[in-house]
Amino acid sequence: MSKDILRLAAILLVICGIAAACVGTAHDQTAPLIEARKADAVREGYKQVLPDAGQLTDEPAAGKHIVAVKRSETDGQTNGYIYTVNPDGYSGKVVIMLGIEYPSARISGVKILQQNETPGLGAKCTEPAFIDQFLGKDLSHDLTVSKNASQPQEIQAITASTITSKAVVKGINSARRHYQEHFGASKAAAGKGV
Amino acid sequence: MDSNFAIIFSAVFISNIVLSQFLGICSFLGVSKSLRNALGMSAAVAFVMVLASLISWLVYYLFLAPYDLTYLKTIVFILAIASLVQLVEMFIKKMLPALHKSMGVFLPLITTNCAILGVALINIQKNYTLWQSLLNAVSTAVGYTLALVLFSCIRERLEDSDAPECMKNLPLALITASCMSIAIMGFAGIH
Amino acid sequence: MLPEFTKGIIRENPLFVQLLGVCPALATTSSLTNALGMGAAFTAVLIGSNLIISALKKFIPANIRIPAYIVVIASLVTVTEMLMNAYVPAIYESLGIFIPLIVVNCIILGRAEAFASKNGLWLSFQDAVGMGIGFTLALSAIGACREFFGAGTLLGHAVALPGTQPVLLLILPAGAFLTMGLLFGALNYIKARREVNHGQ
Repeated sequence: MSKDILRLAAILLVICGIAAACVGTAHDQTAPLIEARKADAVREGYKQVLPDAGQLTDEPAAGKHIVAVKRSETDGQTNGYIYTVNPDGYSGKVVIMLGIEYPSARISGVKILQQNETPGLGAKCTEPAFIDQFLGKDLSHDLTVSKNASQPQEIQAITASTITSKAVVKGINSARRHYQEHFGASKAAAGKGV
Repeated sequence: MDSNFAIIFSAVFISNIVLSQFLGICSFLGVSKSLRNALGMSAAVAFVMVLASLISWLVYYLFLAPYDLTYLKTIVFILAIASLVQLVEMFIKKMLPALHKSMGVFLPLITTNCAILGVALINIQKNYTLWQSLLNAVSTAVGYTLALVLFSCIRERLEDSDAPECMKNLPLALITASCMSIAIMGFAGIH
Repeated sequence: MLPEFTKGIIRENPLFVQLLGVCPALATTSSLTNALGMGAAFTAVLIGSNLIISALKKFIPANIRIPAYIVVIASLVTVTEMLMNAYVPAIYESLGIFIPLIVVNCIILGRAEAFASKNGLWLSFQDAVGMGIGFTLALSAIGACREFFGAGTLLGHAVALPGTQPVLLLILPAGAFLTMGLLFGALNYIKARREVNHGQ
């Protein structure tokens, strides 16, 4: 009896061993591809929100909804910042990446990295019709959401998805405040000497 | 990080495992014809789900992550769950023969209940701590029970309804589930 | 002609006739693209598992067959998951957790137990391809209905009927239950009609 159990255990062990070896081989083959693809996707994302992105360095990120801040530098000159923010949307966090040109403080691009909004309603926040409104916006003042936007600081809300629209704008405004506080016009003048 | 309340509320209502994530549908449709079976199944699933979350979390962070073997997680988790279900079955058979009789074939089927493996994987995917994983497992089990009990109550009444012949049983049950799913959509947007 | 192949497509369709694999059929059919991706991943795993289990049937003792099958299936699923992550990342992302959950898809373990462990390689292969196509067709039917009526697109291309608004509900979770309920109802109706005609 006990001998039989040992035999069964041995067979199962052999099967597990062979399976693990196969999976391990597959992992070794695919892991570099997956890593490369992920790195490409990240670089692609930076290029999309800040077309002039150069050397990127991390800046300390502090404040509500701010996940990461990166400073972009070309030829030793800061030319922009890339923010990742995660305001609360209608269902769960909306993760947004946006590029801000320096020193003009204009939005150079916005990309929704992750959202779980209602398909067909809030999920439209990823579409150009909504997202391209932010391009070129001047960040000296907060942006606001409006049902029929006419002013330059106003963003046209997605029909029937005010909560999602407000969430995206809230995220961008928190990036704006962080930017003005740390790298804004007054700071820029003071920081030049350093 | 997600607050405790957010985890509970989300697992019970907003992303209800059955009605919004579609996990554990087989058992949901299979045992919901009577309230008694629904309760028994819920209890078994809850028990296994919490234990499985505990074990899979420990295995993942103690054995897989330190040795860069995280890609083996699906295999290891399913084996852990399968052995766990065996143990639970032997335990119930010995201690609670009446319950075992009424559960019939459904207990072994818990192994292939995707809700269990699903929760174990979600805990890892969301980087939950051990405490958050257990909380998530308990809340998910509550959400599962809630959906299953409500559903079986409705189905017991549907038995007597005068539905068109071709819609009886499964089609009508699925449409009922659809209505329940619409109902829980109302919870989205609450933080 | 090739009865083991054709049976899975209609007569023993895993989803519509055997009522197996309901979870992925609800979760991964919000668009036709997702449905096809899920169907392809599922078919690949099923073919692999049927072949391996049929080849090993003499070496696996009866009392440990279930854990052995689970190990084989789980390994195949993990490999499929890695390949999808590497080569079709968009589908990988949108199917998410439902790729590893192919492990607990009752159809695969069911075919291993009911067919591959008792039949040779060639028959098991036919069985797997037939069942895989049957399941993929069933998923695609649901996915196409939901995407067409719910989003007004098919495979991402706009094909909405002019002058109509898509029924958003259908691409939400509730729409999955509704579409499947109505499809099952329609199938029952057709079956009942056929039996009546046959009786006369």
